[in-house]
Amino acid sequence: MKLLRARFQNFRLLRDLELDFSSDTERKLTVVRAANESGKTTILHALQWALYGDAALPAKGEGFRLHPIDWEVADGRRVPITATVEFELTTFRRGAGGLRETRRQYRIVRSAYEEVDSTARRSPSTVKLFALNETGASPIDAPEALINEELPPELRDVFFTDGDRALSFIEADVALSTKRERVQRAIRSLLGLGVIDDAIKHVRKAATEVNKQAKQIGGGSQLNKIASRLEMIDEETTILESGLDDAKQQFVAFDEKVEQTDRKIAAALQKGDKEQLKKDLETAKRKIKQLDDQLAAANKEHAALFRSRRLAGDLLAPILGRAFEKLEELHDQGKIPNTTVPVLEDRLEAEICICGESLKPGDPESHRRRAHIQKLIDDSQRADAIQKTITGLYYEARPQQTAGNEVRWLDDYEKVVKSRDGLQLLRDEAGREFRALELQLDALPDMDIQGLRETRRQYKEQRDRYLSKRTEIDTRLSGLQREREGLSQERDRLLREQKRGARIIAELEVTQDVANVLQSAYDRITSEELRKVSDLMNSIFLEMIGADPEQGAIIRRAEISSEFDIIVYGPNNRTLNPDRDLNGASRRALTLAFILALTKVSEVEAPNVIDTPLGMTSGYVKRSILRTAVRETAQLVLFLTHDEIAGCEEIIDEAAGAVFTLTNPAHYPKMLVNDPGVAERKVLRCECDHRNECRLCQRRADAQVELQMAV
Amino acid sequence: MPLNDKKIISIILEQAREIEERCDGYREEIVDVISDILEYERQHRVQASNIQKKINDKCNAAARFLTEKRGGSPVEEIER
Repeated sequence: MKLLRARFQNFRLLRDLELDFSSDTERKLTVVRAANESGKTTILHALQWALYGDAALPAKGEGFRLHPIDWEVADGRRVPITATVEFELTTFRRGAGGLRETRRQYRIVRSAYEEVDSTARRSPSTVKLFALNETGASPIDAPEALINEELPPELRDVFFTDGDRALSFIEADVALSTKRERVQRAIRSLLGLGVIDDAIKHVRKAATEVNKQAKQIGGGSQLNKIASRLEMIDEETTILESGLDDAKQQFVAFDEKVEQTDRKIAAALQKGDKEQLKKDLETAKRKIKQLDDQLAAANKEHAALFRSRRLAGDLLAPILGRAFEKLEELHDQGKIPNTTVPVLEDRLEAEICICGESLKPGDPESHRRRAHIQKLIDDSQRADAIQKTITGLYYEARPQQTAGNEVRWLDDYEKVVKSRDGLQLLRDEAGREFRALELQLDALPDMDIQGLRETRRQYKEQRDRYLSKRTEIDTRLSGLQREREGLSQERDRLLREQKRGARIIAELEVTQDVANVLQSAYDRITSEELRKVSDLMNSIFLEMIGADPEQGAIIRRAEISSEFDIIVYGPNNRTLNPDRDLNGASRRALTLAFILALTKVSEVEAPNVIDTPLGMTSGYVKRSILRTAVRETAQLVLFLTHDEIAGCEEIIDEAAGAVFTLTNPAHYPKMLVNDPGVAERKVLRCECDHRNECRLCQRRADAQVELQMAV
Repeated sequence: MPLNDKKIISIILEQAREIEERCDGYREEIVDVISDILEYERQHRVQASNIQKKINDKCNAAARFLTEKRGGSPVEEIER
């Protein structure tokens, strides 16, 4: 398909705009130069609306106003909106003398009415299709079917790409299976696999019909039995294949759910595991309690220090020192400790004096001596209370004096205070941890991670169940296939014995051969052609971004796997996430490379309409993307800003068959030099190319605009 | 259909070389049958038709071609 021209009326900013696209095979580039807010994206929407209807609009058209926002009610409360696109289709049909090429031109007209109020209610759009010929335009019945056939909606992202969101095949926020399906559907559609698949099914059914004929000619014979069994096998195979498709789809669906739940769990865990946080909070609480107890004990110990004898000893050390000297004197004098009384009492009891004289009662001398000793005892006992106190003081003071400075109260104090301060620090830290955990817990969304894990387990169980079912059906199908082969041979042998058998055998051979050719073509397209798309995508991508493996660039290669995943490899074959590990320019280049490779390998003549493909790119990459895109496409329509064009003028000089400029009059006076003299908000077209400006499109230099904006 | 008929037909032609040439012109006949079937499928997508009957008839015609080409009594032909 090639776009020829388009016209839009009352479609947002496009009150009345006509575009012509270059269909020249040599100069296949059309450049629509337009600054921001000058209708580029609107044209992309309008083109897709014309071809695909509301489904192609943002949010499928829900709440998406189409009529110009400054529409005057005086001009009518219902705004007629129309988008017209003319295009050319080329088909090849095999006929006598080889392939015959046919080119046909069509015009598609989509229109709707929209209410001018806040709801912007819109009537369902109507679409008309006309075949264009020399005599005029002939309407085509049931245009939707032809449009869907010629422009399958699954290829919309291939034909029409918004550079800013040219990521539908690689974006990270979409489930892997969804991306796979998009890639797979695009490849299937553009390589024609859907048609071949349908043909295989119909041919197989035809073979089943032929088998029924074999049963009819066999009567009640062995042939009849075999044909009946073959019929049953075919029926069972059809049911099993349908079951297999279902099991595969269910497997993919649950696999996707497992992945989605994994992502939810990962996202929740990134913010914090609520259950784990609760446990951590409990642990922190216990730790705080433990530290509080230890701190209380340390404070007690600290207080006890001030009641200790050691403190008194240390504080009274100078006074005690002097007292001890006195006590030492008393000790040296034998006055303390008081040991006299027991010695004297012992002598009285032994009845012999220390000096050896007798102390036996009865003798007057002994009596006198005994009386003297008794008096000494009595005197000593009278002084005992004082002596006892002094003796106690002596013995108490002596260790203080003899121990010297080995362990002093201050040492104890330092030890206790150090321990208490250490505990206080730990307590403060534990308190902060506890508060931080509380804050984390408060900040967490009400996400039940345990619940999610349980959901994931259930999804995984379901997924595994369908995986088992797939294996089971596969095994059963293999068994049926083997049985079928054996029975078919026997049936053919029996048919040869029948008069009408040869004809039926011929029909069976034909259906089998046709099905085999279609199947092998299908297999080849899915393997070889997919590999070609993958290889070409890789070379286009690397060329666009200028990555050179020899120079150790981060990106080494890109490929499409047999599961239809677009994978990018970095050094050491490490997989890169296209949406997260690549910069904006590389992501854009990767998507464009896939689209261009797919279009190229399929050899489909299709347009690539791309809005701001060079945004976020500059220098080599920008020029390389443009040059490669021009080379690899059949028809390229680019909506470019002035900045995107800067530096690419020479490439556009060489490749463009059509260049024009769109201007939004609302940009006067801030960005436009001259007043376009248009009161309405509408996009205006002029024929200025990428190197020229006219009175309408002349823009202020960036510096001027910035200065004016600042003022 | 945006798919390239030329490309698909070229692949079909290559794959058809793999089948047995059951009679003179058989492979050519099968390629014609497949081209027509794909055309039926395309038309069927645009405008619903009794495609199964069309395909049955197409295969039937090719079988007739094969039987006729084999000539004589089909049974004798096969036995020979």
